[in-house]
Amino acid sequence: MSHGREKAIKFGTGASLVGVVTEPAPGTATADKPAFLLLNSGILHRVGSCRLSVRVARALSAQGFTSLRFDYSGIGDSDQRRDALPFEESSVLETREAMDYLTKTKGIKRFVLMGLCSGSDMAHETAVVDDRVVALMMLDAWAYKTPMYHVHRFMQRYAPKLFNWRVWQNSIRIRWQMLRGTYQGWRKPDPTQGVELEVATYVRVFPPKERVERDLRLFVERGIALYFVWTGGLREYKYRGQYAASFKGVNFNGHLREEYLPEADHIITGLKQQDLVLNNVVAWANALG
Amino acid sequence: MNPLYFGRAPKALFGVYHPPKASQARGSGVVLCYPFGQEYMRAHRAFRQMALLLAKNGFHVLRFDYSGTGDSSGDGTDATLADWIHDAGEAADELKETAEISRVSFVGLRLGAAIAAAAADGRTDVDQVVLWDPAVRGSDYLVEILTERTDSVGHSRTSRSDGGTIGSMGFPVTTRLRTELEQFDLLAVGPPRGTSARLLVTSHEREEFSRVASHQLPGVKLTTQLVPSDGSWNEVDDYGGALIPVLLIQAIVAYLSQESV
Repeated sequence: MSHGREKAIKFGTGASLVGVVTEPAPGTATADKPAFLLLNSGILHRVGSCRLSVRVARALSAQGFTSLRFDYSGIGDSDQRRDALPFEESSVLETREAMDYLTKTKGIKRFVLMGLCSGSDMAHETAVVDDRVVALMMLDAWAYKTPMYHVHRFMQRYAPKLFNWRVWQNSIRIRWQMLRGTYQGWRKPDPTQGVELEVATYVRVFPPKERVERDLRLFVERGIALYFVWTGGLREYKYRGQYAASFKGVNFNGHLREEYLPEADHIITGLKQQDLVLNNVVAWANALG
Repeated sequence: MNPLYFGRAPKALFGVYHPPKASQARGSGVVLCYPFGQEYMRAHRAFRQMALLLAKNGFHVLRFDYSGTGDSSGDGTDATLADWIHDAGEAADELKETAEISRVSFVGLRLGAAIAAAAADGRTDVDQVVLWDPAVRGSDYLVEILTERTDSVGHSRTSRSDGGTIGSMGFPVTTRLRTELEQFDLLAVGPPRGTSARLLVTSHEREEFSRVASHQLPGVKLTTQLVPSDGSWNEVDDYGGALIPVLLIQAIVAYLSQESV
């Protein structure tokens, strides 16, 4: 698949942020197409989980879309900020700076935000405050339980195990070890000298459902297209349609597309699942116009 | 720090050049060779920290993504070990040209160490090669990266695709790459021309590291150093935990600083 030129850039005011702009493939660009911003997932740098962001950027380029994948401050190649802004605020600010950059250099004024996990959280938060966002592509976004969630959870998790003797055997063994104080499973390993385990400063806490519902009404009012995909790796989501069912008070009016990939893990390591996500995102982008 | 693309399209490689702190500038550079797959994701920030520390100590530094990996051009399913070794050589040439220097060193982690050594083989401009927890026998390395793993809810992280490609925790390992790795042995790699130095730095003890430690190459002054630390590169978690073994990075920078002018 041929794609457009890629350019390494630095931008941002609060920190020096590093990103890569992928231009539309020659002969595919049209003035009306929005640009995609591909956001960090956790502390994975801008290439995305299993290089998904790079592949998405190039596939979109072949269809005439510009994209920018970049690192938030303190992640990947980007510097730490000099101010004390918390990640929840700096990431929104920096996403808006990424939009400013593409507006200034390419004249693009409409944007699609795409993110996995924390990337989807930041996409949501940015869309609330910036009306240049016209669409959201979210992987493993915040999810909320419904009565049917519990039914599906039971069917997926426990029903196959009820008649499995090995599961019962293990359960009895673990409980016996716990009674004797010999169970090892929950003990944390000792920290190793001289190693720092770098983890995201952002702690993922799903916001109150009422707040998200209010945001969703705003998104629908602004005509934002919503494409949500959940993997089997997010414990809070168990069946296709759960998101719409958990927000019955919102009339999505055809703006919501919801998919479930139960076979995929949270970081989408399956090669076939990666291809599926890639193809679906490109098809959805083309339908956006 | 300057992110850039180098090399000719459609084989452009992504790299980040770290110029030296002006007052400490040395006349030599260091090319950093990443490991592969999830190990690359896990080591990315550590390599950035190492590059910053080397630049602070006066080195010109270039870290780069091999073709078909990271931000570099190409698809993972087209990547070959031969290309990656060629890419490392190209990165060294790029660094020499950008920084206007004549000598380079290589630092590589895991498969990156094997690539670094192979790229330095026969070159006339190499000062040092640092092998950090190196992949020694390609066949052993393959077994490690293709070992079946599951996530916290039991999903397999080894997958299969068309044409015999196997996904190692999300990164394609093609039939061709497997064949190349099967045939690779670090001990069969030759030294740079002239005199050079080699550091074997390891986070833990391992039989294959002992083989490298006892392997003498003509014209190469070998130093070995054990810096006990977490060497669990071949792992992944859902939130992308990165390892930054500070003491080991400091040991590498100290070694290069002592050995260079």
